[in-house]
Amino acid sequence: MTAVQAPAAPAQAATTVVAEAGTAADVDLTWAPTSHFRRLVTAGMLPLLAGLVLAHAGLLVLAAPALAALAIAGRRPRQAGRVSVSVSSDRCFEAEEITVTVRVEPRERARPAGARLVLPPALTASPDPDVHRLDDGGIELTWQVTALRWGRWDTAHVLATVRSYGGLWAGTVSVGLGSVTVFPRPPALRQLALPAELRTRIGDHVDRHAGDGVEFAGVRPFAAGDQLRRVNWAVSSRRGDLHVNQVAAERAAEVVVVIDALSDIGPAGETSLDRSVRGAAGLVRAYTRAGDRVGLITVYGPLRWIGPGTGQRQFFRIVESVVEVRNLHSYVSPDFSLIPRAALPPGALVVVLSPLLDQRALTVVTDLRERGYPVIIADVLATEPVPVKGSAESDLALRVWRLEREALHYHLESIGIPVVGWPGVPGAVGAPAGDAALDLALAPYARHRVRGGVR
Amino acid sequence: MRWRPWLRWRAWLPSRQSLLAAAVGAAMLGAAAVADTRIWPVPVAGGVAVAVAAAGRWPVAGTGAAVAALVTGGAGVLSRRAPMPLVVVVALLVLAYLLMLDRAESAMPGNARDWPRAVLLPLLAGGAAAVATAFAATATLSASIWLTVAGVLATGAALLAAVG
Repeated sequence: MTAVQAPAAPAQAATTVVAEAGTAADVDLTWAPTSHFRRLVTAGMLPLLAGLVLAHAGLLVLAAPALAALAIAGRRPRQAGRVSVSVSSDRCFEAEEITVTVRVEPRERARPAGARLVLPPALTASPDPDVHRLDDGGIELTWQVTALRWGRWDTAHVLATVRSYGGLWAGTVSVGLGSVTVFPRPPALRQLALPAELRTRIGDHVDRHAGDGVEFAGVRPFAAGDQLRRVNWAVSSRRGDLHVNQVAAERAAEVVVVIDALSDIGPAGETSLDRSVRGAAGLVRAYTRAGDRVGLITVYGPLRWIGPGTGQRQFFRIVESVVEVRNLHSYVSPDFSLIPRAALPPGALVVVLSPLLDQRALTVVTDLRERGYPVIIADVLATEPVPVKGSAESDLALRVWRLEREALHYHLESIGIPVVGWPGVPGAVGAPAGDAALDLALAPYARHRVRGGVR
Repeated sequence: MRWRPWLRWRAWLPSRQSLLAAAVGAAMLGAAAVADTRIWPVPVAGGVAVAVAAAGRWPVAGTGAAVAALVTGGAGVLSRRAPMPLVVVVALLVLAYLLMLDRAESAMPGNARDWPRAVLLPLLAGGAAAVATAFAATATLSASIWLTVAGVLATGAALLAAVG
């Protein structure tokens, strides 16, 4: 957990209240003596006891000021305070900011002493909040919270502290921020892999069949019903017979993105699952913008799916569904025969985002290919085993591991499943990194389309 | 961004309020040392504690500094080397140091207007209590019914203030 503090708050057990964002509520504070209280007790009781034990009245003079200060300010406040929390938004994309505003309004005989924002590792906040003093003696603190990692996070809370006048008692309350949903940041993709066979739905991609598009596809003899504006007069005059231009049809693609959630390897924030989900979000956004129908299947043992659809609404349906993927675990083997036809239409291009580490994932992609689907795999594994320094056996083991990965890629390509790396095959030197790498890796399959069918 | 080591050092520098508390702490130990110069290592140790407390890294150090001043002042009282006005000053400086230390540790922007209520009021009450106690400790009074009544009234007032 990371904590952002303004300024110091005593570490003690506190009442926890989960506040609805944007609401104010009276809260009961957990009061405890402060270190100032303990210091005054020490400074008062030490000379007092010494004076009594040694029977010397002069020592009581040293005790008198501290005891007087305790007497005038030592009473524990009984009034509750009012704490309100407002969050600018309870959902955002990675790297976006949300504003958390905490208003602490203590009742009489108390003043606000600060607030500490406790966040899960997936969120980070500005180190120093903006502090505004309110007219009624309260304070308002504002933090800018940045989302670092997609997911649904609900452990964030604010620890607000109020001190009694005189500073002898501190009341603390913990206010939960509720659930914050962070959507994956979609990488910008321009080059879209396409299946060799497009569906009959009208779209933006040029099909190899003739149709009603604008791309020139060839010349053929005139037939009854052809439009006169399509007549190619140059060819007709050369051949002595009417010929017309053919144009390619423009069709939409049906794409199903498969996320392999069976394994999750890598440093926090850049694990294979993090990258898979971001890549899936990027693909879904790019295909929906191109007017294609996109669906999603999550493989974590059992299968979860969202049938293909179009438009911005489909994009948000999918990114909303993937934020829970991190919490899904199972030892069940996935069975694609259970997927309904509507969720995995025949001939749809299947883009699998996988680190290719779990045998069940390999079985899935092989099964899909054998069913005739055009399948392409994006290998999202960005890490490799770290060898022990100075160990020849460890270096050898790493080389063997790399060779096994290459052999796996070769085997998959040999059965008709192209594998693209993101940011490149582990161990490759000079491979591009980041979002551009996935775009570059998929670019060849925008021109040379992915073939399906039974081999 | 270039690495700028002075930015790291700046985080370790004490705040203005911590420096003010340290100045009051030094005055407190100086007055206590005057009360009894024989146990000079105690105020010296207290000075170290004041310096550590000013850095704000170890809150117990402030208590240690105050205890050092009380021990030195108490030794002066027991050895009858310290005059009673000096003992009153030491006691008030101990209270002032603890109040200033608390202000430095719990400083919030905009809390300056709480200053009189948070610091001056305890100081005034502490000063009155110290002067009254010093007067009572040094005065030689013959037995009187009025003295007994005054003692009972003071006890009742203290009880009311504490229970409130």
